[in-house]
Amino acid sequence: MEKEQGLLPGNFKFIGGFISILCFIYALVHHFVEPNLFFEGLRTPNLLFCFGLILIIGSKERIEDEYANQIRLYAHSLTSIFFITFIFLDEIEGEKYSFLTELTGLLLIYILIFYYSFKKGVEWIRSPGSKEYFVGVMVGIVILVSQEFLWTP
Amino acid sequence: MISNNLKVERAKVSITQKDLAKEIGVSRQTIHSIESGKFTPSVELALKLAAFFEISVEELFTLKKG
Repeated sequence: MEKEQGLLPGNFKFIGGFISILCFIYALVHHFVEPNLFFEGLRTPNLLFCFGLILIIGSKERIEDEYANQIRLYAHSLTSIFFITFIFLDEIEGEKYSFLTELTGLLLIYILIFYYSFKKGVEWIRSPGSKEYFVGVMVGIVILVSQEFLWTP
Repeated sequence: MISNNLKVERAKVSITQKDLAKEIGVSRQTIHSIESGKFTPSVELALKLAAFFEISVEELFTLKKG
């Protein structure tokens, strides 16, 4: 069976998840509990958060097969629509969001699309008029906006 | 459009999606998505499934007209 060759071993998913959760907790504490907690303007935790997400995306699934590959392809293509939207927004509004914020948002959107589709199938991506597609796009927008809020000191 | 008798063949030998997935070396979601027609397997996977049930690929997968 065709295997995805360019991926890290599955253990990296847990390492990435651990790093991301730690950084996310740090950001929440910074915003809601102790605003004076300051660590290079949240840039380093944001970078680490991003790095953790990249590890999650770049590592193999527990059972890596052609179905996972197909879902990966669909998730990439749908995430690219958000990426194009970012480019347009940057052009119109003059780079309102930082590149790191955009990247973090896109990685989160990709992860959500991938795991939702892995459980439920990719039918919703194939039919852009569906209710699920609309909800998916809305969730994506909320993630992007909340990213800006969470990582900005 | 490709239809399949995977669910029927699975019922004949009383094997769950999870166990079949383990035997073939794929995830349970893969078997589920094939059964529900959401995913068309590769030739290699189709051959493996047919070999498992000891039938031909044509008996397991059929091409719907129209």
